[in-house]
Amino acid sequence: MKELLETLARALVDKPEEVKVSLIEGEKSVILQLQVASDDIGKVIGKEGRIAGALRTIIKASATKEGKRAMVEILD
Amino acid sequence: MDKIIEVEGETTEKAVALALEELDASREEVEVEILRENSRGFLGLEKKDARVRVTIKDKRVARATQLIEKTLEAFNLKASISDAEVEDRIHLNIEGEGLGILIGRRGSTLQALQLILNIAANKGEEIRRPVILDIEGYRLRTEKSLKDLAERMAERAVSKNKVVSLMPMSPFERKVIHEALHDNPKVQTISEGERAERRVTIHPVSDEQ
Repeated sequence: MKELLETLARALVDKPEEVKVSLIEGEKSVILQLQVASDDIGKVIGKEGRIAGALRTIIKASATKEGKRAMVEILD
Repeated sequence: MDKIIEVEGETTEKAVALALEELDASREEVEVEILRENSRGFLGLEKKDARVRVTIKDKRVARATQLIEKTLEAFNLKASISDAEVEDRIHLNIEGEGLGILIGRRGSTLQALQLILNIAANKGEEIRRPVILDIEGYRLRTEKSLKDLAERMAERAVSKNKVVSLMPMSPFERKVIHEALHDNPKVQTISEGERAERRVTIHPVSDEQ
């Protein structure tokens, strides 16, 4: 899940080396915190949050497979 | 866009050079298949030119395919990816087992993946080419039945001269309806309602307008 978010985010940004994902794991839920270069924040959020929404949808699907609920936070 | 050409030349190198000129591409951007080596023949008899087939590799296809492979890996899924280029569009299709999770509820995950692939594949490219992702033919089937529905409901709106309201749909489904009726001058489509209740309404357009 973490690797997937990193992979997807790296494919979107200009500075892939600055993509970082940290995990906060609970029993049934997990929070993924996505960090990117400040110039790249728009690239992972998108117009009206469309890209962030798409990332959340994909990560949630991947979490479902592991029987968990996932939340994606984008840190700025 | 022509992406495969076959060219003849005195030597294979000359044939490739001609092909690159014609395709306006560099050597790194193409794949070359030698169909026939040139032969000098004997005393000028049976002299044959070399023949090569040159294919342009699109970096966008490679990027998108790679990202899909990594996604499949993360989901622990085994599947095959095929690509086809239709005009400027890049079609990618994933076939395999247990792919429902990548389609999601009413295609929501499929749509999310497509959005990410579009941006990732076209990154750094001057010309953007749309990437259309399908999984197990889901998009094709859904689009077909939604288009049929759109046509029928547009006819009803026109014949009764009334606004027809469709059932609530996902963004992907609504988009298909809007696009299906975009070129129909007799109706106009508008999305109304919020969130789960958001639906397409089809409005008849009177001739006077």
